[in-house]
Amino acid sequence: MAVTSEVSPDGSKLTIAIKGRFDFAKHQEFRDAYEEFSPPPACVIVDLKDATYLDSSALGMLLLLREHAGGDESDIRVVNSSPDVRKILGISNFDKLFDIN
Amino acid sequence: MERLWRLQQTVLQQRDLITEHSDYLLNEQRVAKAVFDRVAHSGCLDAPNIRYLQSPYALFNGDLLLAAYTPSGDTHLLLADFTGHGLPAAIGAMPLAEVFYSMTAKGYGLAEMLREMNAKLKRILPVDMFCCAALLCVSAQRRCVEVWNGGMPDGYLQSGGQRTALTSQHLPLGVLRAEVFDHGTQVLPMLPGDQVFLLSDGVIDTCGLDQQLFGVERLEQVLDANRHPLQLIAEVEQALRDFQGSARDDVSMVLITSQMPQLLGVPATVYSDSGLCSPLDWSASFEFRAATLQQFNPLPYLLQLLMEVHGLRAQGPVIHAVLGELYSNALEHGVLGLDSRLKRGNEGYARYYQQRKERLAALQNGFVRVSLQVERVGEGGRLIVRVEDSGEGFDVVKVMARPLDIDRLSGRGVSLVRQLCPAASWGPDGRSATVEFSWGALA
Repeated sequence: MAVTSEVSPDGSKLTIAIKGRFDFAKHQEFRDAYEEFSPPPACVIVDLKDATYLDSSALGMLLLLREHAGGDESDIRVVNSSPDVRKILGISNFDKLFDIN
Repeated sequence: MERLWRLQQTVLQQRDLITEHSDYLLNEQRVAKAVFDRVAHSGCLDAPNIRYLQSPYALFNGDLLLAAYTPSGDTHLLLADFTGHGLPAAIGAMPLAEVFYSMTAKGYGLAEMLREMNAKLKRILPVDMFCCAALLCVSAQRRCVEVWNGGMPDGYLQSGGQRTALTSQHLPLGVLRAEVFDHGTQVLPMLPGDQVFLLSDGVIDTCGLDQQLFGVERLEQVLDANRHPLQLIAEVEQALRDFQGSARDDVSMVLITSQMPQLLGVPATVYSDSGLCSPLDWSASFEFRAATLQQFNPLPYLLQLLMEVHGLRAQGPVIHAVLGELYSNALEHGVLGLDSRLKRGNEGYARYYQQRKERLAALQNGFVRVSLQVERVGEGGRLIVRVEDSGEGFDVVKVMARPLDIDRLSGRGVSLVRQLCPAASWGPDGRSATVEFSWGALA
């Protein structure tokens, strides 16, 4: 599985991990990873440790996740991104919407 | 035997159906592309001071490149990149182009345009679609460029052998709600002859043989090696070919050179009425106070009103430029008390506009008063405009003693007004300016 999701034992945290290229091909899988939780856990972690590339449709998918998780009220953390991926997130200034480290 | 025959018939039928569908789709796309091209690639892109290259990745280029003159002779330039390619990207481009052309023609500034574009895209685009954009206002008259970059790669300002990166400081258009959208722009000095180079991410994301990206470093090497700015786009193109890259995204580049406008050559807007209903004897006075000055640009409305006077239409561009200067002088130097001497060099410019932002945000009192008077004179008429402010005023005698148009960055406003409108005069206390425009009998 290129996209895996896991909820913490207390149900407060959902972790979605992406493997390989994060682009439009992962659209459905990425949606499936969070849509089954409604309402979603208070905190969502997107783990990009194994993501090699991220394109603008991936940014769009992150926006969809944010909407699902409550928009401005959401708490989404994008973690373990490689320098290249962080550059792409930086150009788009997505750090103004997501907690990126 | 009969089964075989039926199978053959079905295959043939389906083949014809597929051909028919495919022709139909292609034709639809051809028509849509023709409309799109007219919307997305028009304006003044063919002006002698603009060079560009766009290579379509799909039938529709997902990048949008627009250029248009403002009524006062500045140039607005937009390079935008929608998420995705083809038809979905092109659909968002249409309303964006509409806003760009109509608001530029009416004399709106970047801030108002950006707010409108963002709100419109936020309303119509699905959540996962947005639009990265770089928007410029290049003003040779005011010797500066105003920039907003949301999500586009660094653009570059080449000014007197120096290169300044125009880095993205904002989220793309169509992401944020209107209440939290930031239309804050950067203003940098840009003299006539200086250049700005903008590009889409397709350039730096072009992928080489071993899956390596072309990248910013290779691009900056090309910029370093460049000797003739007008060759720059061809040189980048060559470098991409040498890299043996295959673009996986739309590739767009544009280079604009700051150039003094031929003000009188800018065609006045064509009006649809008969020319008989024109207000010829009236006056009005407006006082814009602190809370209004903070967030509202009254100029487009005032100019729209003035352009109802037919005799003034031919001078529209000059009136736009003069009123624009008088208003910003009154606001920035009068009400906000900013010292134009700050505007020397890149850093000074940045400090000046930072202070402008801070003082405007903190503004409690003060006003800019604009009085308009239109009257008949024989077969023609005249317009008298008086702009007053609540500021400290300035030493009129000293400023008037300065020679016109020396090559400096600060204090451009007064000098520009005097060049465009020789009869301009300032009250002795430096708190008011009066200009006059007259016209003869209309043909």
